[in-house]
Amino acid sequence: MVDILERPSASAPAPVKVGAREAWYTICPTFVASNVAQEFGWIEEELRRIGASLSYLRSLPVEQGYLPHFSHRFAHLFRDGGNIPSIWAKADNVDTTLIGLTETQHGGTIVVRADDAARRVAALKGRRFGLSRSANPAKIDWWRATSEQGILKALALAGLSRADVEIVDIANDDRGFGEASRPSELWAKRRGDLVFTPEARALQAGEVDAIFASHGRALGLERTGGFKQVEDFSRHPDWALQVSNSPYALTVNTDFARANRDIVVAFLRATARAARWLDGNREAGAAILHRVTYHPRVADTAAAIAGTDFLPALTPRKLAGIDLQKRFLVEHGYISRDFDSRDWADASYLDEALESLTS
Amino acid sequence: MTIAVDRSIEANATPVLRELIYTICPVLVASNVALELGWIHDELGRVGAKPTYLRSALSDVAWPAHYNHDSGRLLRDGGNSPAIWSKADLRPTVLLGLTQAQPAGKVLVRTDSDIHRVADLKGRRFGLYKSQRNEKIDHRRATGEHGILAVLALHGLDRRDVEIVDIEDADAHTEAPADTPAGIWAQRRATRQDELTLEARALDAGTIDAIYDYSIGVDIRLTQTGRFRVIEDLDRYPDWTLRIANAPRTLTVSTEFAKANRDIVVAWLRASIRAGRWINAHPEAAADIFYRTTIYADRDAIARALRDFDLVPNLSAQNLAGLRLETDFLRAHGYIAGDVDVNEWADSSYLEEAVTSLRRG
Repeated sequence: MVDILERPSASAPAPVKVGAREAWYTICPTFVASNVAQEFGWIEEELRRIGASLSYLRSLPVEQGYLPHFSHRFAHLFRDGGNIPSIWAKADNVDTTLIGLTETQHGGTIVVRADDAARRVAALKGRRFGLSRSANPAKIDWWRATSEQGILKALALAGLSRADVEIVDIANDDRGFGEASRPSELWAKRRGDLVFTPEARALQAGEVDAIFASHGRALGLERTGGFKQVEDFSRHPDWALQVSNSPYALTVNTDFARANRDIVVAFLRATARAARWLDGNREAGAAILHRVTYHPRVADTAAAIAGTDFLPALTPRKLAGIDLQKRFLVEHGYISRDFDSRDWADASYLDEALESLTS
Repeated sequence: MTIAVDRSIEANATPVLRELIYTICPVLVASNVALELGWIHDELGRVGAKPTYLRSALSDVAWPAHYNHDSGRLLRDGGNSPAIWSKADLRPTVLLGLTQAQPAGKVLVRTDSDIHRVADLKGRRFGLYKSQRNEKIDHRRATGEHGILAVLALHGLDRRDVEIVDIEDADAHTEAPADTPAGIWAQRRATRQDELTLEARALDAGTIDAIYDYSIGVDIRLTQTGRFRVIEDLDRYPDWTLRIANAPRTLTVSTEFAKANRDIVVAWLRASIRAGRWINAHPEAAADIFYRTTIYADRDAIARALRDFDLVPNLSAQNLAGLRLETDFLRAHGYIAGDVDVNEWADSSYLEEAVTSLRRG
């Protein structure tokens, strides 16, 4: 079990002072080029070239570093990873600019116990689907949103709807964690918890009959021999099925970006360099990404990223993916305010970064 | 090193070049690459013949021969339904070879639609291409219809479960003459590069709910817009007959020409076999050539598709059986009137002679 690092509020740390040329970053355990750029030190290198510095949000005391990872309520912050917190941040928290998107080809799975007679989602009619519910009201319950969307997609593919199954809430304490020097240190501590989530344990205990699991989580579960997949969205040709807390969103505070265009371009230069390196070194890249994500083995990571386009370009289909994700969040009450994703996105930073790399 | 001397020059003979008219569909057949590499011209030149493209200024045969094979000296490689139509209802031809190199097809819907699987199409509108021309077989409609019925059957539905909506096209053939097929397709590509396909425009406009696409790369271009998604891909299934429609591609020639000019036919096949082997060994390089000689939208998608196919023409039992299935489909749905005995149509002696002569070097 992971260390719970929240302290009593009496010992709250001093406020963080962010200097004019200081940038902070936080990255989810996802297959994005910025994770590799960070591991290689390229982001820091690019920022230093222009007299800026880089710090890791989650190196801060957990009271200061945990919630901003989701809300983006932190000055000068770059965030890359799951788009649900990013959309929530933009809708209900703080003005950010979307500067990159990365698609995944693995929208997730539906997992049941290995000894269950069900061999397809249609056979789960009338059964219990576990759905995580966070006890932490201060942040969007992005994990519940991802799972709920996955369950509804799977039911639709099986010709079923929500009314055909029983949704069982599974409590998730959702306590903060952090205080790691960099992402690889943070996720090294959390690897097991990212697979054996509360709803996975409820499934194992027979309290529910099926759960949604991301691709990497499903692999970790089935390797125990106790679970099997009855649906894997990546087996379907429909790109919209792969929209699952993705396309991963790279965002930055709008006021910071406007005042420090060169820092945003520098961050994207490092990311674009990493994307190109990944394109030419998939197997080696898998070993790097494996340190900051949670697929069971490097080979699983390599297989998962075989078709990934790592350049975080703001293409029409990726933006359409954001719109699908956002529509789900609005319709299911996860966010209170809608916004235009085309206004959120600004491709000029990436364009400038790519241009500077060719000149 | 010795230099071969052509004795006919010494004899002051007047060389008479025999002319073969040819036409090739913008699809994955070895003839397209053989032509671009110059191997068709080389092999025909060796036997004192020259190829003339049907749609070039030098051709005295009108373009509809691409479909009806209305010429006594025409060789055609490409989609099988015009070839079957010609053989069944119009004129004698010899089937020289078959190539099965065609995706099975995909079903696309609008991104914002509530359709997630083919079963959801029950009671909805499926677009189907319809040419406004009546002097040629509507091969594009036949291919689409075959695919739509296959995909419905796969999901326990039939034609009555959906509404088939005709998507009409003038089917103009207005391109200017060109020396080779690539010159025709360059004109078409130039005008259509950034446009949605005819069927996709109807889908986008909401006049239909689904389209069936059997191209290479169109699905990529459409889904990249974010406005469409693929809900079914028949290539995901193990049943090879799902890939039968306008493929296997047919290499056919006018019977009278083949009988009188066996060496020219063998020369063409030598070039095609050589090209087929070269394509199989070099799919990336071949993709660059096919991008010019097809109307497929995406070079990389061509390269990926080629890895799954054998581009050397053959007359295998499986391909002949596939041709039989398509013939039956075209008859059952009124695209052709007569029947074709595919085993009688095929004459493997030309292919065998070409393979044997290549083995000898």
